[in-house]
Amino acid sequence: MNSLLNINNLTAGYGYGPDIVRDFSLTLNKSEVKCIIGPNGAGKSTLLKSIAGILKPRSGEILFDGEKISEKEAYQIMRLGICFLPQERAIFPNLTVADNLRMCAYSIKDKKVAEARIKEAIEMFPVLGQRLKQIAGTMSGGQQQQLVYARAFTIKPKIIMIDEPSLGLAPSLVEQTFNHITQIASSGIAVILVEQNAIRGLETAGYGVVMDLGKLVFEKPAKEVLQDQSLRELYLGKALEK
Amino acid sequence: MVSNQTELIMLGVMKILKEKGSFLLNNKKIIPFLILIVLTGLPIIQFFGNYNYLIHIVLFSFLYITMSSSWNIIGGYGGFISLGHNVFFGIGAYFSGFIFVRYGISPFITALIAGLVAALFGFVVGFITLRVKGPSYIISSIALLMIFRILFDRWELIGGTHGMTLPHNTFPVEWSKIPHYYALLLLMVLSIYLSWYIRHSKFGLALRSISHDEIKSAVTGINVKIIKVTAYALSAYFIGAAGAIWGDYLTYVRPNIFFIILIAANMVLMCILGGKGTVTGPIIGTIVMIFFNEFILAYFGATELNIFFTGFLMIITLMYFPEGIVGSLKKRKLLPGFLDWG
Amino acid sequence: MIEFLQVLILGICLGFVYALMVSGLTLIFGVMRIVNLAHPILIICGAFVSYWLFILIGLDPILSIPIAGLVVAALGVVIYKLIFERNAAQQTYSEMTVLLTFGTAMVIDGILSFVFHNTQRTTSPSYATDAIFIGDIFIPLAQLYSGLVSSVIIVGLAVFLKYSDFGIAIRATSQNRTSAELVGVNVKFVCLISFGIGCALAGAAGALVSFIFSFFPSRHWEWIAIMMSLVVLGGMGSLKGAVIGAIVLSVVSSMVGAFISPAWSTMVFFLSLFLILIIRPKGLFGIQSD
Repeated sequence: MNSLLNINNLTAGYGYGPDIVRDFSLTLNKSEVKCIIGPNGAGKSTLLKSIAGILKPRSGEILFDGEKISEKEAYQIMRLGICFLPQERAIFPNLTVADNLRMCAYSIKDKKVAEARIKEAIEMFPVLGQRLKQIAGTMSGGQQQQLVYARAFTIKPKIIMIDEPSLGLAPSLVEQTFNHITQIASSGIAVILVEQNAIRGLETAGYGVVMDLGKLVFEKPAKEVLQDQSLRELYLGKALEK
Repeated sequence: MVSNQTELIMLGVMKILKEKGSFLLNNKKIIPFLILIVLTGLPIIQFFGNYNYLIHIVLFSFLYITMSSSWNIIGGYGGFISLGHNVFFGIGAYFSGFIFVRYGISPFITALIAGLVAALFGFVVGFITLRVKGPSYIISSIALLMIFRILFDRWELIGGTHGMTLPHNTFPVEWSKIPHYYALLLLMVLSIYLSWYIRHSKFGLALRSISHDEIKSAVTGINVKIIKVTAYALSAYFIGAAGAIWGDYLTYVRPNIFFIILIAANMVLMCILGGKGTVTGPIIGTIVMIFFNEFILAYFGATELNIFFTGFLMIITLMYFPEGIVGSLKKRKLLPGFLDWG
Repeated sequence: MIEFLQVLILGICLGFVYALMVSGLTLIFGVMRIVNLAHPILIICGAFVSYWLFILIGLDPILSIPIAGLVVAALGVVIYKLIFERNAAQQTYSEMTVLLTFGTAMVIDGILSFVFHNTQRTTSPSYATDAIFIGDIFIPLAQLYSGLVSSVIIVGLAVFLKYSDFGIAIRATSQNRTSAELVGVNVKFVCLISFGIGCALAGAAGALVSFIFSFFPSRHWEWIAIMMSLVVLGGMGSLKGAVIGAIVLSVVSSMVGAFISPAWSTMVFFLSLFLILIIRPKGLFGIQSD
């Protein structure tokens, strides 16, 4: 297979509940950025959790670089090269920033490489470098956000999946966030993005994927979705300004 | 020809038996009523021989059914797992025992007051300890028992570690257990009735809602504090009354009998084994466990293994059927009607 | 004054031993949110290991610490695999799990009582009856040694948790299990090893307990409530809190025992548990609770 990630007919749900993701298929190639949009309850987060291994799929298969990963544990999937940033910001609140970065680099076996990566991340986010001894949970929301994205640069995964990056952020931070995502994408990492702020998400992405009631509605290049009047009205709720 | 006819008759009889059988099994009133009649008349067998041990086992069952049904009110319906609930058992026993020793008034008269004393105490303690849920609560309940154990061990007025000895009743041996038998039978019936009543009342509904989510219950207008604490006090009542009777039955009241954690563990296990949160669960669980215990006793004798088997049974129950016997049967729609009281 | 200092020093020494007893409990709760009521009986298992090593080959209880630790750790891993592993998958604690630990405690109690009977035992190494004098202050060697050894082990544990890779993984898993998994931590493995370490600490504490207390299988009931009160003061899941809580309560308890009455010294623990419930009704476990 040439593609990086193949999702074939994935079905997933929670506990004894109904199927949330139904028969979903998607491919992701190297350096692609796909933004998944859709109404609440569409199954977008569930999809990401299934890929990341936090939720076990009920049926269907997920192939990463040709390898089946649906049965693997989340930490194994992570070590294979898929990094997931869930909705609940995933820092360790009671560890210092330095320890948090150390944890980001936890999966890197070579100590020297790990240290080099941490240095890189600090260069990219100097704010973190100034607060290495600070307890991460006491930092401001924006600073914590940087710590979260520092993880991407430390790990340098093949794919990064981000669930609602702009959720709960002040508008200025939203900009900063999407800049980070663009940076990540330009460093060659493939990105799957789930975004409520559909317009901003599509502006950052190469492809727009619409998901509703657990199914794939359609996938088109992001620009097309942004410029198509009827698509915008239907899915983005907003007509193009004339 | 003849065999065909007999076959037909047999089939007919079996059909009628099956119908009657399932009617009996599913009617909620007949079998329990029959059982009650049998139990009320059971002591008559003493006329036919010495069945003291059987009478003992049966009234021991009455005691534990009373206790586990009462525990069910706060533990099953309320969701507060109290592992030190026999404090009330001891309070009732000591209250009535003390009055008996000092003033000569029999515990059979003071038992219901002993229950009240236990309930009042429960009300006060409940206010303090029911603020937290989960493991915090469990630990506080154990600590409460420990505090009582220490307090009563040191309290010279009521005998300290040696406790108090109560006067025997003067009935002949075959009949000495009978007053306790009927007293505990009565307490058992009353406590089951209380459990059933709560289960089908608005109070019970509020209590169950609280056990799921206190905050959401509060915003629907339920006075969470009062209901929790009242349930706790109610759960203490019959345990206290039973303690008073039991003290008289044993003729001695000591901390290392009434305030040991094994009693609380048994109470809890019997309720969970049968199915906590159901009315008939504690009854079934108690009967099963007592049978099981007697079996172990008969085969192994030793009492240290008692703790081992209780713990083992608890682990198996919690791992494989946490809803208990009644709960599991209900889930699979296999529960016979006469056990399905809610 | 002399007496006060004596009691204080003894209280602190004992406090460190209590802290060691409780450190494993705190660790297991922190990582897996399991309140392990079977922890005290595991300590007693450790005490038995040291006892038999002492009786059979004359091994000094302090030297038996590694062996007691290993044996109890192995026992702990077996128990974890058999009973707790399936429950440990959830991030939140549940009453059912606590009851499971309670049942486990009863099972081990039953086995120990049956095999060894409930006679009071204690190991009696030579220093158990010796004491030293610092000025006019009389300090029994048993308490002094056990206090010192406990503090060394606790410091070692703290260093391990703060600086080693696995230690940080343990701390990260305690704080945010999902995040830890998402940075590549094998969380199931961390839980298993943490349980093992917690039990090893119990075993080590047991070795010390064998000569400063007399022990018998049913003693664990008493210790459950005592140990819970120790961590409650400092906060479950926090090693620092547990140590502080242990030392403070131990000193207070020793003071009460010496200057008011020995009968009430254990009451201090249980009463403090209740006081905290009144003062901090939000929950004994503060930040860690639901």
